[in-house]
Parts: sequence; C-alpha cells; structure tokens
Amino acid sequence: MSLRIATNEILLVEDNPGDVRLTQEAFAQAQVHTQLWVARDGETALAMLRGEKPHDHVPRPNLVLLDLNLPGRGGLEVLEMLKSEPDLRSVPVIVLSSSQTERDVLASYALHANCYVTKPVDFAEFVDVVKMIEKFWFTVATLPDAVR
Amino acid sequence: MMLIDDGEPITGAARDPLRPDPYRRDGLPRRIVPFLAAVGFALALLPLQKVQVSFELLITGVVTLVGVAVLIVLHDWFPARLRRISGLILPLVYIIAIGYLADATGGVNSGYGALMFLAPFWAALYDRRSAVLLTIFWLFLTKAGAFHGDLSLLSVRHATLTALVIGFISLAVQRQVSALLVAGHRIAQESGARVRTVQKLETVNAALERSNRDLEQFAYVSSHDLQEPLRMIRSFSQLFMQRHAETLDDDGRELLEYVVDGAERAQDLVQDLLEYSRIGMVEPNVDDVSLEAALDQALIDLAPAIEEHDVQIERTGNLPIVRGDAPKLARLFTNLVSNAIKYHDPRRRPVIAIVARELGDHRWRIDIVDNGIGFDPEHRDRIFRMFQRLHARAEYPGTGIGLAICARIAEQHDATIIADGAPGRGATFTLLIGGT
Repeated sequence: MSLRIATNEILLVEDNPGDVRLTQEAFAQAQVHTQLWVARDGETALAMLRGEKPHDHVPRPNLVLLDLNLPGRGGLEVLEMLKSEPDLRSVPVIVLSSSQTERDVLASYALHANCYVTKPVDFAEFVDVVKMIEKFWFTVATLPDAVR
Repeated sequence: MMLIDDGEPITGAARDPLRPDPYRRDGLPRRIVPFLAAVGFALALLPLQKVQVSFELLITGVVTLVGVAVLIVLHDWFPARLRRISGLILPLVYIIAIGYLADATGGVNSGYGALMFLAPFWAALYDRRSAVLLTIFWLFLTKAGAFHGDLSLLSVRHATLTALVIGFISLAVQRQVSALLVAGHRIAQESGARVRTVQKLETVNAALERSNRDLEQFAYVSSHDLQEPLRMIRSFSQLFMQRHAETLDDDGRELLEYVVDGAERAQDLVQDLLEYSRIGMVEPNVDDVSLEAALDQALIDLAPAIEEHDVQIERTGNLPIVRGDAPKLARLFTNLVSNAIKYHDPRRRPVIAIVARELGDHRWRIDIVDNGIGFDPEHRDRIFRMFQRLHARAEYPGTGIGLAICARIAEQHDATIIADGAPGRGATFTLLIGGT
C-alpha cells in the first residue's frame, strides 16, 4: 500500500454567488492549499462527481461541501443520491448550511452526511471554521483517496 | 329553574301561542299518564272479576266520553288559580253523581263508567286526545269480553275508591315526571346552549391556535431566511472593510461602519426573533424538573460573567420540583440572572439573592433580587415585551428579547413573572410557579 499525498480537491455545491465568493475568500484567507470546484446545482454536482461530460475535466473531489438550499434538487436529495451510489458514497460530505434547524440536522445525518456545519454569521469566524475543516479533514483524518 | 304548576292544564296553556308549552316539547307526560291510568284500571278491576258485558257498557262509555269532555271544558273554564281544586272536585262530583245515579237506577254500569272515567280525566287534564283514545280502548276491551260478571253497589264503591287512589297516584307520579322532564328539558336546553358555546369557543380557539402557529411559522421562516442576505451584507462589508479600508477616507469608513453595525444589529434581531419563535414552536418536553438543578445549570452557564463582575450569589430556601421542560426552565433562570448581572450598579459589588418559599397549595414564589440600577416601576410590564428596551444600545447592548423569552417560558409553565424595582435601588423578579 503506497501512501500518496493527494491535492485537496474540494467540491462546493452552492448556488448563491455571494456564498461561493465568501467560501473562496475564506479558503484564501485560511491559506489552505486547496482546489475549490463549484457546482451551482445538484445535477452539476452529481455529474462532476461521476466524471460525466462536460465536467470530466474536474478531478474526483476529496471532500464535498454541500449547501442544503439548492435550486431544483434540494441539498438533502443530492445527499441521498450521492450516498446511494457505491462509487461516490465514500467521499466525505460536509453539509454547510446557514440553517440550524433540528429537522435539517437530523435529516442530514440520517442520509449519512459525514458532518453538519452551520455557517457562522461572522466572516472572521467563517474563516476559522474553514481552517478547522481543512485541518481536520486533510490533516487529522485520513481520507479514502489517500490510501488508494 | 321554572316549576310547572301541576294544576295548570296543558290544554289551557296551549291556547296561548305566545307562551311556550313546556310539556309540548317533550310530550312524555301526556303519553305516560294515560298509560299509568290504563295500568291502574287493570289493577283496579282485578277484584272485580265478574264484570257484566252488556250493551249498557257502550252507553256508559259514550256517557263517560261526553262527561269527560264536559268536565275538561269546565275545568279549562275555571280561573287558573282554581284549577288545582277543580281538577280534584270535578271528578269527585261526577263520581258521586254517577254513584247515586247507579244506586237509584239499580244499574251498575254507570258506576263502572265512573271508574273508567276517572283516570282518563287525569290524563285529559294534560291531553284530551289520549283521554278519548283511552276511553275507546276501554270500550273495546269490554266489548271484546275481556271482563265478565256483575257489578254490585259494593264493587261500584270499591271501584270508585280504587280509581280515586289510582288517580291520585297517577297525578303524583305525573307531577314528579313532569317536574323531572321539565327540569331535564331545561338542563338539556342549557347544556345544549353550553355545548354550542363550548363548540364555538373550540372553533375560535382552534382558529386562534392556527393563526398563532402560522405567525410563529412566519416568524421562524422569515427570520431564518432573512439570515442569509444579512450574512451576506455583514460578511461582505467586513471583507470590504478588511481589504479596502486604507483606500477610504474617514468619512467613507464611518459610513461603512454604519453598514456593518446595521447588518449586525439586524442579524441580532433576526436571531433573537428566531429563538423566540422557536420557544413557541418546540413543544415543551414535560417532565419532573428540579428547579434547583435548573438554577445550578444557569449559574454554571453564567460562571464567566459571575466571575467577571465578582457577583455574590445568595441562595435561600430550596427550589421546588415542577412539571416542565428542563432546558427551558434553565434558560429562564439564565436570562433572569444574566439580566441582573447586566444591569448591576458599577458603584457597588453586585449581589443577587435567589429566595424560594412555598406559598401553600403547591404554589411557590421565587424571588430574584438584585442590587443593580433598578428601573422605574412604570415600565414593569413593558420590559417583558419583545424588543422593548429601557436603555440606549450604547449603554447596554442587546435587543431586548431576554425577558420576553422569560415571560414566554413562564407562560408555557403556567407560571407568572412579575417585575418590581426602583431606579438605583435594584430590581426584583418574582416567579410564581406550581410545584408537584
């Protein structure tokens, strides 16, 4: 078994351009060396994960940041589909939501989300959260891709 | 409760269409009395096994029918207050007359007619038709040969006496039944009205609950969805400030600060609104809760603030066990104590006394007394309203939701919170709550 240090490819599933920008800014400020790919809806996200055209240039992500509030297929539905595909379900999914609704939290974990994070209202805190996500998922935890 | 004068015949009462007829609605007494009378007849005739069946009976029946009709008319014609007497005297006069007639003519069937007349007469006081029907029924019975034999003078007297007794018993029963039925009818009417009122109340209540739920849902959804754009405003203005503050002059920075500040405040409000509506939305988890433990929890949560302001906490008396929701009750204490800490008087060491005592009948009074800046008692109700503040934001930050949340939690636990205080002399928040 050879250990290979993979580039940290993150797929952000988020439709709100403001949030996309904020997340990009947060990752930039957190000085985390990651490649952030953005899918504006669930269909695109699934296509990117499956490596379907025209998204086949997107590498398979190590981590998915999923917003629940998506147009068309909601985040929970995308999560369910993702976790029902044997090829995709090993990719850790972090639900990143502005909602702290009990229903959303419980439903996310019931659909095998790997973790649920509430977006902090303060930008500085958001940067901290991004740093922590990076630290935990890419430093503390060993991801399946790293041992393949 | 209206009592029906049993001497007051229904026939008389029914003539006035404007006056409600208490018997007419239930109709039962009018059916019961002829029935009782018929039974009474059968019983009365038991000793008279030898009743002669003859054509005379038919004539007696007709005479009786006419006699009943005449007596009813006479009876109705009597002034209302005399009817009680007429109801007794008329049949007696009739019976005696018939009896003498029977003696004089040597016929027996007229006396027999007297017997069959009496009970129908009582019935007729309440319903003419049943009296007629009963008489016809009686004629049919005798015609069919149900009874045979002779009626002696003795048996006429015996029959008269028996019929009288039966008549009185019928009347007594009639009185009771009428009174009961009228009372029952009245109760049914009243309870019907009450049921309708309760139903109406329930409908209105359901509508109110629905509207409250809708409002809560609305508050929840709007506050939840408002978070998003506010987060955008706040984050981007922060980011803008971070990145471009140098390129702005003082005026530009000040303006931008207002944007950041406004967004922050709006966000605080929205979050508090969300929390407030959440308290209403989440069904209280009802359990036996130790308020002692709830207060412990609150003081643990507030430990940093207590330490920071060197607050002296004095607890007197044991807090009760109540039925309720533990986290919410802890929240209630947290808000009350943090309120006391927040509005401390900077010139003296803050002291917060928590005093519990039983008022009896499982009611408890818990006072949270502070030596803070106090407030004008004029505002003692206002401070529990949502987003009501007594101080400028610059002086004391906050949206003014804390005590509103307390009031709401108290309300959910059938408890009451009263505030009292005086400027510069501290405040007292009193919780009145039922223990188990």
